[in-house]
Amino acid sequence: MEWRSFHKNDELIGCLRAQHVRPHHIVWVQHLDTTALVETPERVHFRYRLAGPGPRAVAWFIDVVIRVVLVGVVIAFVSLLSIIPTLAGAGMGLLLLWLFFLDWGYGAAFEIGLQGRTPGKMAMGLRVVRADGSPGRVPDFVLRNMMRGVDFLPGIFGIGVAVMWWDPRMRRLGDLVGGTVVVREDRSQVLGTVAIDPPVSEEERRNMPGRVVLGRDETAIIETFLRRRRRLSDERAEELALLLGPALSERTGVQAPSWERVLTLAYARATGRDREAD
Amino acid sequence: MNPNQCRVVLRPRGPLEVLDLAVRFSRESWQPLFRLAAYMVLPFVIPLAVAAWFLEGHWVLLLAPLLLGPIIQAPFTLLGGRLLFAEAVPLWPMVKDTLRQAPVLLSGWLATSVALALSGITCFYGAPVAQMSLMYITETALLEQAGVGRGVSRSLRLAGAALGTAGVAAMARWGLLSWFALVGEAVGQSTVGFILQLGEPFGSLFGGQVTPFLLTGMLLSQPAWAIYRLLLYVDVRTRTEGWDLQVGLRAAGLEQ
Repeated sequence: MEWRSFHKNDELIGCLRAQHVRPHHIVWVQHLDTTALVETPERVHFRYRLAGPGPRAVAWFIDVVIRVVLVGVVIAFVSLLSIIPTLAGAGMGLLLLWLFFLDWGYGAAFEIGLQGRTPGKMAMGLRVVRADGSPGRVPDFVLRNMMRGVDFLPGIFGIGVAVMWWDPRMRRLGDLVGGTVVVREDRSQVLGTVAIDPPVSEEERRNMPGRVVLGRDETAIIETFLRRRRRLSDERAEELALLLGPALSERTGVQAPSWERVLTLAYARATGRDREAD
Repeated sequence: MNPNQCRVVLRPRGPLEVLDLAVRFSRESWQPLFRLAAYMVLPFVIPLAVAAWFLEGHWVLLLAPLLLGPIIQAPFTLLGGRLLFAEAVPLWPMVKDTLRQAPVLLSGWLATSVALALSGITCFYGAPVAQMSLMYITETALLEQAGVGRGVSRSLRLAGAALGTAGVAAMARWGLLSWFALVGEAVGQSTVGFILQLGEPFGSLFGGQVTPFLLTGMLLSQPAWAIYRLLLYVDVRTRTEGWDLQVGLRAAGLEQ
């Protein structure tokens, strides 16, 4: 493989060079995803999910709606002020000041106050963080929002989206200047236990080998398969189970009328879930 | 298609995340995509600019990019599909393969147009529903080599399996079209009016005219939509047919 393929993954280039690995010694398939790898000073690696133009456009639209509502509220207030003759001119000044603040301060103020989120970003589950994954600081938020005007050129974020398209972490110009990146917050939830459906019968339990050992990857993929089983048709589930079932049956001695059941029983016995139905 | 060789990580995603993936995918494969755009989009720009000049920006010109859309999108779908599994794809054989499937594609588009017209006439919400349901016809024709009947039924099944995705995608399609059109107009007017100081020789959108810049933007949105829809198709197949599970289970099976 040639060097040109490696520009796709900056992190890997660093690792390869540090270890004096020659690229042509490696058979490597680059898998593209919307995640980025971060290495902490403690050499801990973690991935975060990047937010690109799709969710950010929706978040921006929500913020625009909120800003329109806020302008409407101030216009109503200014109309009331104009009833008082001495305050009629002040009302217009107030409105212009408010428009200026909304244009230049809305994003920064909310991102500072809500730790990297505006109401639109909150609704979309997005957050602005520093490029190294640490929480954003006040200057970062101010800088990235000051550049919004440039990103908006020549209209509707033409430059911003073009820069996002070019940058591997989908950052607009403001993000590059502020050293920030917009990420999706993982709204993680505790996954429920995997359903063994139908439960392991007494006869199946008797016919199973006393001990079944599954590797970590095997357990993980069978668990994922069982969790998503309901979204698959019966034919497709059996087709998928056929990829692992025969080899697993031969290795562990688990027998069943279908390959899908072989996976289920092997998983149930390996994790002790076969005794749950009692 | 062998999902083991796929260049994108196969996992269930939301429609907006797929849009982000489409951005990254088009960035990684920009050279062949741009080259194909030069063959497929540029030849239409000059005739449309001439037409815009003679028709003085009549609104009927807006129909041209919409009618040309399926013709422009088809090779991009096939190119995107091949780029998912290969680093380099020769363009001409790919265009020939697209032409070979042209009868099926034309029949599919005709079926879609008839369905859109009929559903639009009979029910107010019919047209968007028909558009959502038949959105994967190009993918089924080109990537699964399906005939018209099977292509329609496959598209209905895939869209029905992820109705929310199809709905968001339908909105995203018009969003993409509008965004490209407006940015095209803004870039064109800025270049001609401000940089070259030539004023507004084609009129402007805000003056009620359809300009070549707007039409170019609309044409350029077609490849973007084709790539996005292709990745949506891959995502729906991952979710409903477990492509990622296929990769994982096969790998686990090979380790035995």
